[in-house]
Amino acid sequence: MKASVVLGTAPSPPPSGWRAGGRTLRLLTVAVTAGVLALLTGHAWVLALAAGPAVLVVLAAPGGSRPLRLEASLTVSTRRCFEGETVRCTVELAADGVTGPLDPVLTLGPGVELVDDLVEADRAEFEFTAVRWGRWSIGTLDLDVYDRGGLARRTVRVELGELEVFPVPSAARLTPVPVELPARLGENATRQPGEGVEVIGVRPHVWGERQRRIHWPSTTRRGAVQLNEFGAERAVDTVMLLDALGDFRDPATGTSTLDETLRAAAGLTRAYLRRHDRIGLVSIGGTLRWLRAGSGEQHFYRIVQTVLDVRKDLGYRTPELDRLPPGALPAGALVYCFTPLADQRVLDVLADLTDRGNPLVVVELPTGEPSVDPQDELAVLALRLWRADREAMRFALRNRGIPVVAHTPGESLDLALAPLLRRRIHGGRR
Amino acid sequence: MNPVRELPTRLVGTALLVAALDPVARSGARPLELVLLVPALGFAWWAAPPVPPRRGMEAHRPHHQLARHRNTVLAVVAVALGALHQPSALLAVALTVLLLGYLLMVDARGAAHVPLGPLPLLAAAGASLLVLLAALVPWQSTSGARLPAALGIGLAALAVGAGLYERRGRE
Repeated sequence: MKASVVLGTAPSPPPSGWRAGGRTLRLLTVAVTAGVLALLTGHAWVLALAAGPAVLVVLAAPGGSRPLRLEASLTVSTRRCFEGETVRCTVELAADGVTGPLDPVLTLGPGVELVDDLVEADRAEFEFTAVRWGRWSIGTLDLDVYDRGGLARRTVRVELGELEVFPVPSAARLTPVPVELPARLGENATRQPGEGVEVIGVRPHVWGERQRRIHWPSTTRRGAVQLNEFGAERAVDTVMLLDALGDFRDPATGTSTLDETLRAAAGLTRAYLRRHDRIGLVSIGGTLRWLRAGSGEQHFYRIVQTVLDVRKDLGYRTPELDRLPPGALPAGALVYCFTPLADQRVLDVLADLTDRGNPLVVVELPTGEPSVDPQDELAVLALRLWRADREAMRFALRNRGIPVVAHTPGESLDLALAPLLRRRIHGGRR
Repeated sequence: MNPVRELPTRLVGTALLVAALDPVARSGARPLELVLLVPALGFAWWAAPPVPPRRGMEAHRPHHQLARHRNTVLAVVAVALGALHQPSALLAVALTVLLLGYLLMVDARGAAHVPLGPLPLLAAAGASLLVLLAALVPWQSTSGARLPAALGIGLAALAVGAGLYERRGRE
């Protein structure tokens, strides 16, 4: 038997105890109707129509074998996975009597899809695919347990719990760096003198210095000892600013901007963490979430888990757009803002960041253009106005000295970030 | 649902309603009455296939409830129409067999189908035919009525015993 799948909100609690099944109601309705009509019409032969169904009901009665105690135990293969991975839920039924067939009804949560199911005598297995990142309720299982004859049923409800679905990071390797870096050891060469490996110049030898770095060509040319000067290697403080003020679906491709926002941010986070830089996170939209900058592979999962609640079962929360907390933004940290540029409120947040002097890059996620009928003049004019409005937002940002790059979902993020490597990213006005 | 798999149930359900309407007795009826048979047959054709489990369980409007319980409605309508007149013995047997067959076919495709052994089927068919025999044979007012009555009681006891034996075998 296959499970019935229902989409939508959690169903109301099932009645407790045993109740008649559909088959019983059908047979008894026919038998009672025939019996009553036989009495009313005086046609004795109509009792024959009642006899068959009545005998079927009587012979299916379970006697004393109907269980009094039913318990279901749930096993979930994992509570954390990446998008596209499968999760297996197994429900096993324990009863103190004889049970008949199981009839499971599954109310699925919004972030998972049922791939396969297997219903046996005392257990049911379900395999789900995590469709989109987020922290989702897997769903609710109402397991209808029939008695041995299939006459009565009792419903056992099993909550399948929550599932954390991590986004699959976009491919990214490039890590643009700002002009000024904090005084912390890292892997990014800077213009400041230090103990790195990249030569930034040549200078005369000062008495007492080690002579292992002598630059021989200039030494022989000038007749005095000249030393190589090396640049310091510093770590970058980077903050990912996620615009979760809205979720827009591209009419052409069906991609969601919120999906792509976190995928792109996760890809860039991985790229920076590979270089042992520190990454922080600020998410605006709904409850303001932020995470102090940190490094290491585990920090990646901490960052993603911080954002998962943005989309808790597709709920809506009033955004908190007060001034961003200072702890979330280290001084001079490079801020990447991932936004579809569809909500004007994000401009206020970006202006606040620019005033703080943080170097800022806006990564624009495409929302797709609204589809309009070319014959409809008003719609065409509205589309032009929509395009002009978005272009005005981009101009406002570029006018403040903020680079705006466009990331196309499915493509490597490096394509969008490559132009930023031509020169280092400057901070805004203080 | 597969239309080919639905076809036997549709045919049996439609035949059940046709038998309940007794078209042979209506052969002399007015054309208007015969025209009314067409929507009845359409209803039978629509209502006969087994309703998929859980279909429309969330709907509470009357027409949704009708669609959900259409198998039961068809069987009850057939019983009601059949009870309005006294059919011939052959038609009464046909109606009884068709009703039992239709109910068993619908049960076989239900949400919790428990395969029936041969004894419950024989007991149900035997009980129906026995009652039909007792109703159609004009023995009630004769002195020989005791014999079929005793036979009926014996067969009923046999059916109950067979059922109990079947149950013990399954346990």
